[in-house]
Amino acid sequence: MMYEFAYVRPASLEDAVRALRMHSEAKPLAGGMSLLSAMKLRLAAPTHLVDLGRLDGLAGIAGNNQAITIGAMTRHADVAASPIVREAIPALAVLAGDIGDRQVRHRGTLGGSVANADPAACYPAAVLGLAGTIITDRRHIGSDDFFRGLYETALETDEIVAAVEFTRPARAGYMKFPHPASRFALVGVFVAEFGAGNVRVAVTGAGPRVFREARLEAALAKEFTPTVASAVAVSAEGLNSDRAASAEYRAHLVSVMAARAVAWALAPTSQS
Amino acid sequence: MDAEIARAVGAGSSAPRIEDARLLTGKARYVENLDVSGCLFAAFLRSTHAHACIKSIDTTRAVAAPGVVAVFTGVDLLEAGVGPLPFHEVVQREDGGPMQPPARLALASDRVRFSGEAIALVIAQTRRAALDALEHIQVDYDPLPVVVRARMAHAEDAPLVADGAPRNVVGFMRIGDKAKTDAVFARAAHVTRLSLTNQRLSASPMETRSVIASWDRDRNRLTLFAGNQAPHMAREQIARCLGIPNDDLRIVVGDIGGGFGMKLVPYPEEVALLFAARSLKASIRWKADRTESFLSDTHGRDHDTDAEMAFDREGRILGVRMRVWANMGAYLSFFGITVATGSGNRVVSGVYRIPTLDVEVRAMLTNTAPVGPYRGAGRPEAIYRLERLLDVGAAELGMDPVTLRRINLITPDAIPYLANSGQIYESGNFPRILDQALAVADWAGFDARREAARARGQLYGGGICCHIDTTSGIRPFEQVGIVANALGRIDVFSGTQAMGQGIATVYASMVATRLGIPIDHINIVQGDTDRVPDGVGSYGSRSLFIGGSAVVQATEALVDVLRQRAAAVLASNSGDLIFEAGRFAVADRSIGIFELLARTGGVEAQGRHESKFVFPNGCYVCEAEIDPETGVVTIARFSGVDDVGTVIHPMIVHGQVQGSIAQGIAQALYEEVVYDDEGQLLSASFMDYALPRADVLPRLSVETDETSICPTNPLGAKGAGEAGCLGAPPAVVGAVMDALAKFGVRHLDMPLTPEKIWRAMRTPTPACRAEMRS
Ligand SMILES: Cc1cc2nc3c(=O)[nH]c(=O)nc-3n(C[C@H](O)[C@H](O)[C@H](O)COP(=O)(O)OP(=O)(O)OC[C@H]3O[C@@H](n4cnc5c(N)ncnc54)[C@H](O)[C@@H]3O)c2cc1C
Repeated sequence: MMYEFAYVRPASLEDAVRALRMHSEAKPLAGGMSLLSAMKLRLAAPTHLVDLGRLDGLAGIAGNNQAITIGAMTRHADVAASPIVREAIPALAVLAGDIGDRQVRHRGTLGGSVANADPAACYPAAVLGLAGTIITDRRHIGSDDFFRGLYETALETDEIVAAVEFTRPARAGYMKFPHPASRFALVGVFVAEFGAGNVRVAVTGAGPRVFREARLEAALAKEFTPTVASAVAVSAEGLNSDRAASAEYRAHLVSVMAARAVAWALAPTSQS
Repeated sequence: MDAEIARAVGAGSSAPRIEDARLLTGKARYVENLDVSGCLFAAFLRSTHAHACIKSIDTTRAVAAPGVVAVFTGVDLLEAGVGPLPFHEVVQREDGGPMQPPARLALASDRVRFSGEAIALVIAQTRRAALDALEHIQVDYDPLPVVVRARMAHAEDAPLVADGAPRNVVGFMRIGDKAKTDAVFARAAHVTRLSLTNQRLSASPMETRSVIASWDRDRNRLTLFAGNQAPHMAREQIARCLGIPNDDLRIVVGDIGGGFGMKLVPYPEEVALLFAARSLKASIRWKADRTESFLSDTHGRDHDTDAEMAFDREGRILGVRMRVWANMGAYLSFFGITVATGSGNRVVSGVYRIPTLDVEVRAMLTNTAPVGPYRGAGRPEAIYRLERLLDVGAAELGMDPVTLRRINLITPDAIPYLANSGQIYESGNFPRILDQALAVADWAGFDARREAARARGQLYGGGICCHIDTTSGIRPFEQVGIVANALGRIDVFSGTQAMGQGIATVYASMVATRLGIPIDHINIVQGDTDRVPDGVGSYGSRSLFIGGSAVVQATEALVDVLRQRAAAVLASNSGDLIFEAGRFAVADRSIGIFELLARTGGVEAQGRHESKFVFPNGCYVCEAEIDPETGVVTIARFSGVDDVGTVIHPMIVHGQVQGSIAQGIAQALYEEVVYDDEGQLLSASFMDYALPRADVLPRLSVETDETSICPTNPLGAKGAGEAGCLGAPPAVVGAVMDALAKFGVRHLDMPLTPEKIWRAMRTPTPACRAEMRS
């Protein structure tokens, strides 16, 4: 059961930022799937919740030839079902459609996932893999600068994610090896090829934060095939080691999942 | 048994479940749903240490916190004369002396022995106030060394959990003939040896433990609302602990959202809350949150075993030797020791002819939560070690595992069979069940499926398990009262306790069918020690064949009384009356039950059934596929046959079989309660404790065979609730080990996680490496 807190529901982004600024222990509330659980476990104790639910401008999906932009309050289920996303970056739709369960997908949001920066979350891999840009109430932050550490981002305490812009790749794939209990990513690998020699590989679940795997990127830049990915020996150094998997096993899974993500990118199968 | 009786109560047809409308539309009476007015709320402070002396507890600030009504500690209970929780005194110590487990007080006062043990109880106006106040209690601990694993607890230099248990052995049990077994092993053609662990599990019911303890001002006594599976037994145990007569405690159950044996024993929280309710003359609510549930519910299994099997040249079993270290946790839960030394040992030799055995079970204390009965309770452990020995033995002897089992099965001509566990298998045809299971599984097609999987780059293996269960457990009787009133309503009172199985449906449909009246006239009353005069409870798959048999006896007694009355009304001889479709008839005269009741008034009748142990059995076949890149196991096929005696309600039997197989598969592949070396629970939430989900379970093709009905009860039923937990783990593990055979893997402990399998594939054993070189 949570500690007591106050609830605020601003009508504009400016009001929301103002509310966050006014109370140092205030937190934005998006889908609540992560935040409310942490509060129930008494692991988080904000004095104020600033509900972003009424900020209609924060939800929605738009696309052009170069990029698609998804509002922070867009639910995972809407991303998964979006014709724009499915056409432009099918891997992203599949990723969103495989997060949690149906309830979580209808409550959880892109902005919440990105701001939360859970080391095992799926979206951060897509943001980093697709060279995304985090658009906040005050600035643009490149994905390479955004994810700083365990649950740690470049966001200031009163800063609100408004949208994320994803670069359209030539092709992309995401493969998640689910944690046996939580089904978050024990290891998740997002691969994207943006034209000749430009490949990004983002890994989630394996380390303390989402990261790019340079060796895989270099190898796949030469030849974008599953065989090449499987052949890369990923280093276990710095990877997570816990009850669910050792660092060594995670390192192995990174190349297996990378190979499968490449295979999917080359021949996308079913979309969820 | 009487095929006529089974027919008369409608065996073989599945009446729709009468509970479901209520359970599925939010009208269930779980304790949390009960509207008891004016309740206070409780929260427990739990030990953060696995083993420590408590130097002091300071509750001053908590008492003064807003909304707090009272704070109790162990000292308060001791001063009021509240005794320790009872345990089942079934065995002795290894030195022959009486067992001396540590006294388990409802609130630990001077020493804590596991992480999560309750130390203090806060009662407040709201749940939040109670939780907030916990943070104001100061406990000064003096940490002690910790031991977590049963086998390690037996080491000479292991930390001691309690003074009365030298080398942490709290109870000891020996079965068989050591000298004879030693002799047999000395001349055996081959001996298979295996060390294995049957891992600790959490029952994980949807409804966590939930309690209202209430002081009844009018009658000056206590009421406990709690989801207990055996309310009459719990009343006796809790009343003893509180030092009050049974009649001064009423237990009311309502609905239970899953028990699995975990809700069979009385809990310290219940005692502490009743004490607080009596002290404050109040009603108090408490519900475990999920983490508390993981920390403080009784866990299941957790046996370390050294197992050996001696064979002759043809593969016939000559003898078995087992050394079992059964982890009891830090205290004995009421049936904790019974599981290890009683229930499992009744099937210690399985369905096989085992000429001699030598089994020693040591019940070990460790700094972990107490272990208790969990679906299967001892039998899964016993069957698992036998079946693993047979699989490994088959590989070592170069024999087919099916053949090895077949030549050792007890044959039908030997039934009833006196096993050297001392038990008599009353019925069963084990070879027939094996043959049928192989047919249902299309075992003949296994090689082709393996080839097809290999062509897809997958590893593929098959596993088989012949299991035998023993049902009933202790106190093998039930008493049932049946009351028909003049308005035609029939109340059936039973001490068995539904927790989702559909007991009410089965009892009501049996009574309705026998009486030839619509089912909605029947009202099944369970779970209230005031309304149900006597009974035992639901565990050990006993509700139908013991409780249901008592229902049948009571119904027959009712029919007899009604027959006498009908004879009087119809001016006939009662022996001449025919009773059919709810009417008594003779010649052209007849009278229906309802008219008879209206004219002659209400009737009461009693039925009682006392049972011997009964032995349901079966055979499962599993085929598993392994992804060689990741080690992930997928169950490709799961088939088998169960002999549960007469199948009274097929839908409910299949539901029980499915549920228990799902739990068995989950034990094989996913679930494990893990403590670190400091005794801290690492699997304290569903983010870490892997329950199976529907998408990982295969379609089950499991059938029933009704040719060996049970001779010791009028229904011919044997109990169907647990066999899946016995049969599934060995079948799944056998299949996975078969798939891994080429890597030289003999055995891996459950759960078979992807990483374990990946490592086994990467590190071939020396023998295997030699083979690969050659
Ligand atoms: C059962 C379950 C399974 C799950 N499985 C997965 C999975 O497989 N993969 C996966 O990736 N995730 C999974 N999740 C997490 C899920 O995707 C969450 O929804 C997500 O991580 C958080 O999104 P939210 O909208 O619920 O954010 P909230 O819980 O509302 O907020 C999370 C954090 O972000 C902050 N925040 C929210 N929005 C903003 C914003 N616009 N700007 C700045 N800060 C903000 C909040 O203050 C809070 O600190 C699962 C969750 C659950 C409960």
